[in-house]
Amino acid sequence: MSDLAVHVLDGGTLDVPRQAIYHHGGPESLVIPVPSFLIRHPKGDIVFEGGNPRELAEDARGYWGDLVDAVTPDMGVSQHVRSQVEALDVDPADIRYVLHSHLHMDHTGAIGHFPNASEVVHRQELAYAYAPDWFSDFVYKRPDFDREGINWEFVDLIEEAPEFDVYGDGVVKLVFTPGHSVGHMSLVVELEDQPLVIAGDAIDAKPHYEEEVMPGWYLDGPANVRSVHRLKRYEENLAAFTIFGHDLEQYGTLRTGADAYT
Amino acid sequence: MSDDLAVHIIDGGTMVVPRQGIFQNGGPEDLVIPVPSFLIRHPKGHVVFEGGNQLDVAADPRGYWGPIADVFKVHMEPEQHVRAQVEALDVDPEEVRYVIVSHLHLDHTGSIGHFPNAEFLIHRKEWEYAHGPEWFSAGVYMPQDFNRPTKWTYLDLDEQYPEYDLYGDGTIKIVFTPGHSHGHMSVVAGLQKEPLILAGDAIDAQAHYDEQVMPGWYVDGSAVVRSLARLKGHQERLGGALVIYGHDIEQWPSLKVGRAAYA
Repeated sequence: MSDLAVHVLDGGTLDVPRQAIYHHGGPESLVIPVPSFLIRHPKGDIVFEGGNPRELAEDARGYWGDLVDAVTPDMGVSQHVRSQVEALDVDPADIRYVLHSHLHMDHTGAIGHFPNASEVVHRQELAYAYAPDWFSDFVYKRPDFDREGINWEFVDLIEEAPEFDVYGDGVVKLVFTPGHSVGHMSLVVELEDQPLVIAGDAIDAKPHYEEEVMPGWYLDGPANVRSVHRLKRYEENLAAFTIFGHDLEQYGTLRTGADAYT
Repeated sequence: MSDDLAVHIIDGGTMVVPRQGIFQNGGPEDLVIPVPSFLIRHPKGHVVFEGGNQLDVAADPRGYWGPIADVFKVHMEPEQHVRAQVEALDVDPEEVRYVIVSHLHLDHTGSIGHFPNAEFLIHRKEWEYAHGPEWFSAGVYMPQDFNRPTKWTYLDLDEQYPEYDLYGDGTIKIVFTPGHSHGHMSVVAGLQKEPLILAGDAIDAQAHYDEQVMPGWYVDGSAVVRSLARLKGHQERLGGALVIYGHDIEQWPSLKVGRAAYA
């Protein structure tokens, strides 16, 4: 039985071309964090996002091939989401839900590592991951999600019904935020002191929130804009703090590890 | 009207744009692109597809477009405007029966307001979106381009019913090809000897046809891929029709332009 809290988990970093995050941002190097989140809830703990797969900490080139030259992980085994959860004295076997924002290769680290969890994913996201358009092919790694024994739970959020309230108490809500990917979902956590909007890649970084520049990656631009607006409404209505998906500057200001948001 | 079916490519001048405007992550270097339109002669009435830049752009790009004229640098003489080009082919603009507008981006609106008796065909979603674009699209839609006295007909093509056979004889098919914009439409011209796929910006250039690189601009990436596949389907059904890309300077010199028509 745990009190409500959110821990930001350090997943190491990726070194990517700037244009992967900022539209027309050029090929220069940009280091981005790859965080995950542990949500302590009286009814059962939850993991949101998974960061990089554990294999990248062990043999990045063996797992990703030459992609590591363009998207270069810097990650130790202790930075894998399961290790991070254990470091907070939570037994991975006690995690009740793993919530997946989407299935791009730097968000799949949790899959299969929490043996008793239901793994919640948008139905369209998993379907698309198995059959991506050619230009999306390299961001979906089939070994990440095509694993035995995953207890998938599909949600079918749509624009007209964009919310999934995990425990029915209004505290932990998945919010449909497509655009970056076809079935992207963000998380809203109504903490008592500091409600959080955990955007995932619906908002990679501050300039997207500010609508100064489009993301370097999107499937559907207008959907992306709509999703940013959706999250801003939650932020305003809840006086929430919005955590961006890959913003190194913001990451440096966040509470991480044992220092939780409550 | 006894004109035999034929397609003339109309030279609309060129623009110099950042390479990344056409090729995703293509960098800021200059790329010269053509801005073609098409006159389709048909026994039942002439059709114009596309429109290139508005006439006002030839005279004073910055005055008409504002600062975006410094990003899309236009090289266009007044006689390269679509109306003048149609006249140069001895066709009276008043006798153009239909104008098919692929989409309403600023370099595709030149026909609007210049063919007084034509029915202008536009996808309803394109019209709606042009009047309420998101912030990132706002720069490519110019209300002064399309808020002109015009007889509009709105088409509601969708993924299930993506075709409109203009004269009901299979010679001019309007095909829904969204992705580049919400309501983008291409034209398939079933010419007897040289069938053509007029892709518009559904396929800007050969590299997109070859799926080597994504376009520099799209609202829906998956739709871009779907639309390309749709046009390739038409190409195959027509026994390998020539696909004319929207802005490919390398393909441009290989095309018949002006009086030398495809038939």
